[in-house]
Amino acid sequence: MTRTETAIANRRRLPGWILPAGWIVVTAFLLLAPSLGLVNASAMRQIILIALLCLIVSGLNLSFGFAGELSFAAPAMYAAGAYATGWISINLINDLAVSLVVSALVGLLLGLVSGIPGLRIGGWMLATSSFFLVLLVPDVVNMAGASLGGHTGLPGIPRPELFGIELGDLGLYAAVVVITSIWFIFYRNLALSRTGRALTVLRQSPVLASSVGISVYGLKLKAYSLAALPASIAGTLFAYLDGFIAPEFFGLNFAIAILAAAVLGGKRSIYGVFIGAAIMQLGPMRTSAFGDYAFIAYGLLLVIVGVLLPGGIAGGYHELKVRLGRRKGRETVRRESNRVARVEFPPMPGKRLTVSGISKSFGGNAALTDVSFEAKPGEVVALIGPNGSGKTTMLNIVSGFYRADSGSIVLGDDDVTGKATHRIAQMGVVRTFQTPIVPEMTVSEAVATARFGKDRASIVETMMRLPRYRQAVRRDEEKTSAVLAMTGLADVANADATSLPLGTRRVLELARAIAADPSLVLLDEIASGLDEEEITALAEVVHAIRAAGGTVLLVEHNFALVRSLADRIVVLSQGSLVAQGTPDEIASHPEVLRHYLGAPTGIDSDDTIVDEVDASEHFITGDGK
Amino acid sequence: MLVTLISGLATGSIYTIVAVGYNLTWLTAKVVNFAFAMFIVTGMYFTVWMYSLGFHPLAIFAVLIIVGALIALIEYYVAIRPIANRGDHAELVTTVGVTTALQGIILLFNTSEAIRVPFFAGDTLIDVFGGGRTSVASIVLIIVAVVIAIGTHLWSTRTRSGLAALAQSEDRNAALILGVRPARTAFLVFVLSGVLGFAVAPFVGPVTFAIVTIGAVLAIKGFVVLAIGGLGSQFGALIGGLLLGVIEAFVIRFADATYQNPVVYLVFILFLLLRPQGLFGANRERTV
Repeated sequence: MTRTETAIANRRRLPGWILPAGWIVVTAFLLLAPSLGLVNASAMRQIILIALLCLIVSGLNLSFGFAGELSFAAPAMYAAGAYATGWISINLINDLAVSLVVSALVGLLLGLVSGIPGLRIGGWMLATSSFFLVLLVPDVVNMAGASLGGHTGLPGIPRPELFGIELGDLGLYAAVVVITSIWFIFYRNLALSRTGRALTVLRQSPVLASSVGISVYGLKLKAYSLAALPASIAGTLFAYLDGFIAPEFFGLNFAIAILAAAVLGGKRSIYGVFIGAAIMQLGPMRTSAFGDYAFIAYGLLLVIVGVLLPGGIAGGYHELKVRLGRRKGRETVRRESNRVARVEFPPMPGKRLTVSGISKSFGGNAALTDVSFEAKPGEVVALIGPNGSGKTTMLNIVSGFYRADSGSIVLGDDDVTGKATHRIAQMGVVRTFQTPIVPEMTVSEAVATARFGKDRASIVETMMRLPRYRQAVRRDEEKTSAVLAMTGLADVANADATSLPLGTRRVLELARAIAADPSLVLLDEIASGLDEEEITALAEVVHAIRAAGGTVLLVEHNFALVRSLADRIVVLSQGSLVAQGTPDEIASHPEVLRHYLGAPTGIDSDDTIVDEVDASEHFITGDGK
Repeated sequence: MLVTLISGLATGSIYTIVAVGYNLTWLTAKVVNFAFAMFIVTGMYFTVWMYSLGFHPLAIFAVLIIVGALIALIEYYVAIRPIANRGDHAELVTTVGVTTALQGIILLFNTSEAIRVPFFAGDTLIDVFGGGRTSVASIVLIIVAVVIAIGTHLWSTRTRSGLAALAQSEDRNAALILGVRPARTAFLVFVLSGVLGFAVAPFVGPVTFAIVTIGAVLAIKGFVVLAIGGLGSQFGALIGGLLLGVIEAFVIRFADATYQNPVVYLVFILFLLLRPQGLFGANRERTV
């Protein structure tokens, strides 16, 4: 989806004013349509119902499409907004603005309270705990007693007033159109923002997300709670529409219909929502049209669209456009070589890493035993050792993916032992992965993901495009384009990151690391699978990081590379520290030689360590990776 | 008291069976079949219909087994197989779709009102120690659930085919090398779950009555059981299901039916918050 969208955006950029102007025209047209005699009362009602469904579906898209967590809770949020509005309007004050604000708060609160447990596991558990929420609507209404009308429903909700003026049919219609229009501006701004991309990263790789400073749980919770907002606002408008609400309006079947509208329109679409909602509202949701076949229609629709058209109508349309575009001879950029002439970075805020007495075992299998070492700013420290010696385990402990059983990790003056991965990442600890993790987006967008943990703009600032958001975006762009230029990736900036060859993906991961202004760079076997030329290019970048004052800790099997890069080498074997020292000291260290070669002569600089290890070692230690 | 306990255990047995059905496909294909509870409900309507036509109970079981296998087979090839390994929680959408379609088909031929499902051993009531009466159907249902849970537990931990199925879901490639055929295993277990869902219907129906709306409710309760017992543990499904049923029965007995679902929800979220791996589930550290 993201990939196809970017491809389209690159091909043909519309002038900036077209979209807002078009949006105003559409909104104004819908507003004026009844006065111009273009729509009658029953059409107005259908438009209102479609708009309400659009609001609800956009919420589901936020949690399912963007955050990747299917939620059925929308009818419960809708009911919360509707009942809050009904009760306030009857008992306290009848004002549309007041009702909207209260509904929004009630919805957000309900989202937060139900999201906190549900998102602990996510997947089916969120789906069912949110489904359960809908099951509770009649019970909660009943428990509230007569004030909410019980099973039979709550009648007598007055027509809404706005600042003392009663809104008639036309007024309510106008309010629905304007509110929907404004919400979709916010929704679109959020979807197409760095937060939207953060959600893309989170969905594709929670590991990458947390290692660039995104709290996976926190961001999912934000998206899920925010999803309650449009649904509860729609509830307010629905309560005023007929002046009567009953628990049966907010049942499980409605939850299924909402899901059907979302997958039909496209669960990550912005404008597809209107298509999905309109089709469902005018089709199977009008019971008269489909009658007994409505459920079969919903069910088949979910299966067929779910299997054949995972991006919904909007996704299918984008796919088609991209395919037609390709036929016109548009190709992704091919990169011939990785050669980087001379790399130089501005000063980096490198910090001292102090690892003391780290031990870690997996179910009685000791992966690390009492390991201590240090890495200083402007220094490259290499961790070497056979497979299963605990190198990657150590990286995972430093970056917070594993929790050490004992010992401490100190970064500068901050103890980061046991902190969450995203917190550690936010302190400037960046890493690359053995198999590069590259999200489906353009190269420059992928590099910009490094900035999520840095400049942060709130959801509200993002949705309203407030100055702080725009500043953050500007800084992202400056930093990203500078890093792309310095690492030689500028010519592929707009290419699909996933289409790059392995060597370039490794450079991309390094660029991403550098764009974060790192205090510590962790490199996990960056040379494996690369040819000489590619390795030289990468080594150049690592040298430049060191020259800029960065702290680098790398895990590597290629001893020639380690020797040329590292200031100091830390040797692990079966989870214990065997030796540490300069490359020359290590190359002639008797203990190291005995461990790795069984030969007294010394290690040639071309040797790689990995394959010379006795194979039995793998079985003794298992693999700490 | 004892009557309440037995009625709780009987309801809990249904929850256990649903959770066992989820676990079966989860353990072998890493797919949870949301439609499993609706299989049971569909089976109840078939049972009622065939009783009305005068079928012998054994013939009813035979038909249920065939229909269950067929429907599961269709679901597997239409809604599961094409999206296998796509990620993105695609099966959440398609299995909910199958559930909804089954619900629609049932409603084409029936009203939404509860229909009594006859029990093949008759509607005998027996006296319970300490006063009160309970139906034989309830007792039989509890025994059936215990046998199914223990049986599937032993199958997946003790038998060759069960271990092979478990192995291919843990590490598909390693199992392939060792001679397990993952696609075939996943398919067979899926069909088995269909047979199970339909074949228990004549035991479950007399206790619940056939009502189409309980499909979704049972589906949700099945997940509550997984949250309590731990995803993937058939023993956990047994304990969790029975516990949930008993809790519900006592809430209804001493408070009010209105509080039944809120209390269950509370139990559900407490487990998710405090013990997300459930009572018998494994807690794993994530790996990079």
